[in-house]
Amino acid sequence: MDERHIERVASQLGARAGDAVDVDRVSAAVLARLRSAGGARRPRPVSRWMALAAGVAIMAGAAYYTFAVGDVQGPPLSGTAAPQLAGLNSAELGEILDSLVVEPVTLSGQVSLDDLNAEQLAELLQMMEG
Amino acid sequence: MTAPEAHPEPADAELIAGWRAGDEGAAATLMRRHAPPVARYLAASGAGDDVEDVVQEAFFRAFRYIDRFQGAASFRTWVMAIAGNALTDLRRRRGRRPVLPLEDREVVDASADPHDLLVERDLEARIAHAVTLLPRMQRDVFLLRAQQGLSYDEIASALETSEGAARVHYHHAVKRLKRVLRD
Repeated sequence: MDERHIERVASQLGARAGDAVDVDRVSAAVLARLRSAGGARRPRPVSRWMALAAGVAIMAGAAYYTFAVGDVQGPPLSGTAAPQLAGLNSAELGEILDSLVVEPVTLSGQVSLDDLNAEQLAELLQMMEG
Repeated sequence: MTAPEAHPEPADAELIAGWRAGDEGAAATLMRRHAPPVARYLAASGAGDDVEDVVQEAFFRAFRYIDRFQGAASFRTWVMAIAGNALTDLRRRRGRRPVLPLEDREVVDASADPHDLLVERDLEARIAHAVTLLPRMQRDVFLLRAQQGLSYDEIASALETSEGAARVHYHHAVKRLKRVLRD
């Protein structure tokens, strides 16, 4: 079965549920809940000190990322998804790996996915893709 | 005699501004416009009998926290992402497995050959089941792309990931679906 066929069938999934949903009932229930909750929640003003602390944290994180991960030059990637993997950061590669395995990955009994850098995550992903 | 002046439907952005100003009618119009596709998305995600409850929860969260909507994705896509989270929360609370949307088997094309129809129904049921088995991120990306027809850019904005990561998730979703359908 090809991808187009799967996509065509998938485009019809849930069609009956879309027609069957009682929009007026949903709308009335949502508005009643919002009234009792006091409507839209207003964002709390961020204090100057909080904003400053957040800025420092972001800068520190960016500096760490540049130092620890950003300068890694991995080998050229190949395979079906390889060209797309090359541009992803560690968090995104970790997220993809997480979605590919059922159990949390622990390597050598001591190292987890969080300990791997972008290059190592990409290599592991390629190995899993076969 | 002049023809009655047509009143075009207000854009989502106008309605969102209306709700921010406290206009319940604006919120109701947004729900009327977007609840059916959100319900479709949830049904395909395996929400089963809980579709309407989760639609309700998703819109409640969306309107309650409307200030978090930055407009990077469309309002509908943003609500779908919220709906996906609400469904996950519900399953976690109840410890429930995804439910196959059985009603999709009943879609009938009267002009089709009966044998082809049976084959197609069987395929729909298998794909519907296989989609509910996908890991969360793969399923969300696959449905937003294949069912809702969104661009990778918009999917990435809604799911707070990159366009490249969304493409990879889609690739793996299709690969996994093909494998399940082959077995």
